[in-house]
Amino acid sequence: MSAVWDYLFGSPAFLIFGTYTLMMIVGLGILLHLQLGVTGIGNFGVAGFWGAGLYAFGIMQVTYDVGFWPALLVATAAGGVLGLITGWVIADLDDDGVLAATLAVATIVYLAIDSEKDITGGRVGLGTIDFPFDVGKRTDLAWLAILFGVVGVLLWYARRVHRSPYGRLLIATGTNEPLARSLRKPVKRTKVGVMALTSAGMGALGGLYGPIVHFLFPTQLTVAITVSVITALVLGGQQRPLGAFVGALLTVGLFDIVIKLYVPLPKDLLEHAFPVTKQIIFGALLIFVLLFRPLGFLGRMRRERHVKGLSRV
Amino acid sequence: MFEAGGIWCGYEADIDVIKGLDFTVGQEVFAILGANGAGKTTLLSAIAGLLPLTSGSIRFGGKTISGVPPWRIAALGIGFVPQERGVFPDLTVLDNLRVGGLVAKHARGERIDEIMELFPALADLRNQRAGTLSGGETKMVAAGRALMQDAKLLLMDEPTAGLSPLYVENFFDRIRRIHETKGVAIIITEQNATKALEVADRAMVLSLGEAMTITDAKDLTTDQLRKGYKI
Repeated sequence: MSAVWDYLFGSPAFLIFGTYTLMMIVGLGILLHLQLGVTGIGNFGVAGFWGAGLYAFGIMQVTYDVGFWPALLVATAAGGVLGLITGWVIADLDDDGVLAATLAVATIVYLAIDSEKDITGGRVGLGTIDFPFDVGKRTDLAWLAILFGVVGVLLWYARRVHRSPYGRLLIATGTNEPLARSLRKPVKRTKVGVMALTSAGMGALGGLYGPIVHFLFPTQLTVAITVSVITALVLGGQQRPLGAFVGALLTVGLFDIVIKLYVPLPKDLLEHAFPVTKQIIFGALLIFVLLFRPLGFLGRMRRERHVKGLSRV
Repeated sequence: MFEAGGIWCGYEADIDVIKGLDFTVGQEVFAILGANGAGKTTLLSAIAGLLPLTSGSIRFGGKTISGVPPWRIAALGIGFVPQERGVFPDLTVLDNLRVGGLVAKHARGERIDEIMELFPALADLRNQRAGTLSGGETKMVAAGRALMQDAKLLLMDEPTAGLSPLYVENFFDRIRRIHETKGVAIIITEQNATKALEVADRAMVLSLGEAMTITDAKDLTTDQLRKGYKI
């Protein structure tokens, strides 16, 4: 029994950090699901909204010595305001335009943080950021529990949205915008609103990531984050709230936790060949899914339900 | 109720598809007949506010609606059933109807019951995704959705295009019923002149964006129709 325990939890720090990353991808994936899978907004700049929150949190904590809660509020606001502006810009663009514009936003955020030195620390970095509480050796585990809770709330919210009139409005906007417009639906306001709200969530997740890494660098905001989130969501099922969770388990969970931690690969292979092989497998999986199951492993969103009589409408 | 005065419109600045149309529609079923390319869809899109006019004006219920955004036109009581993409494919039949409903929540249930009564086939399909329905069922959902808006005037763009003959017969019956039981004025574009004339009170024959004839449906002659269809 002890041997099994040691085998599974022999490297707790690595396991916890891998799970942090997993939960971060799942959280961002759930928010991207509301943008892309429900409202049809192809946000290719997830790293930008998340990064804005991460750095806003870091700047507040390190540069201005602000407490945890106000800093988290600023991080959420940073993502939200950036989402609001981006939403307003992209509301009337076509799909290609939305992809280009959101990627541009993420690039601007990255370049701004990378080139600025006094506030963000530029390439030197910004730190250190500590957990807002200390419960000894269990602090990182407690933080992980909080992260699980936050992701759980996001999942609950996404599922509620699916069942609500607001969700109906989002789906109508995403699937047939001209028709929704002609039905007196406030399409632009809806898109701006959903971008602001979900980007605020991404900003908050960025803020929560600060204490995990302790030190912030611009390289943490590269397109790799966006690609990981999109890959997880597309593999799992972009139209389903649980899609990001399933996809993240298959990607980050399988490759960055299970294989790295439990498959005895030679160190050289793990450091050099593994990252490249992982990307190749991700790419092949994406092609496979897009060819044979375009809506991901979980498939199409579930709208059908049992209605007990029309009086309930 | 509805007046179009000297309207011109098209998809490019210097190419007009509709060329100076003048017509009025009262509390009636008004059929717009014509061959492919006559400008039927363009005309309905312009009325629904989806296409700007180059000149002329459109009035509805005493108000000028040309230049008004489509959602405001919808709010005034003009429902549009486009020829294609008339439903939200990822929503169920019931949700499609709910999205169309601008009425109060308590009245919405009654309105849905009315739609189901009008299109009984939809009752069994109410929890099915609209994207999985057949062509005829999709057209019924689109029409039902437009009726949920509490429409005073319904614009139907070739509602029977691509349907089997059985559905066509059934659909025209429903159109007449919508008009008679709900008092909704209907402008319907059709290529199937015979069936459209059976339900219409008046008809306009459109050819290359110009009105060849506007007359009572029962008075429309084969010659007048031929002119429009350029046979």
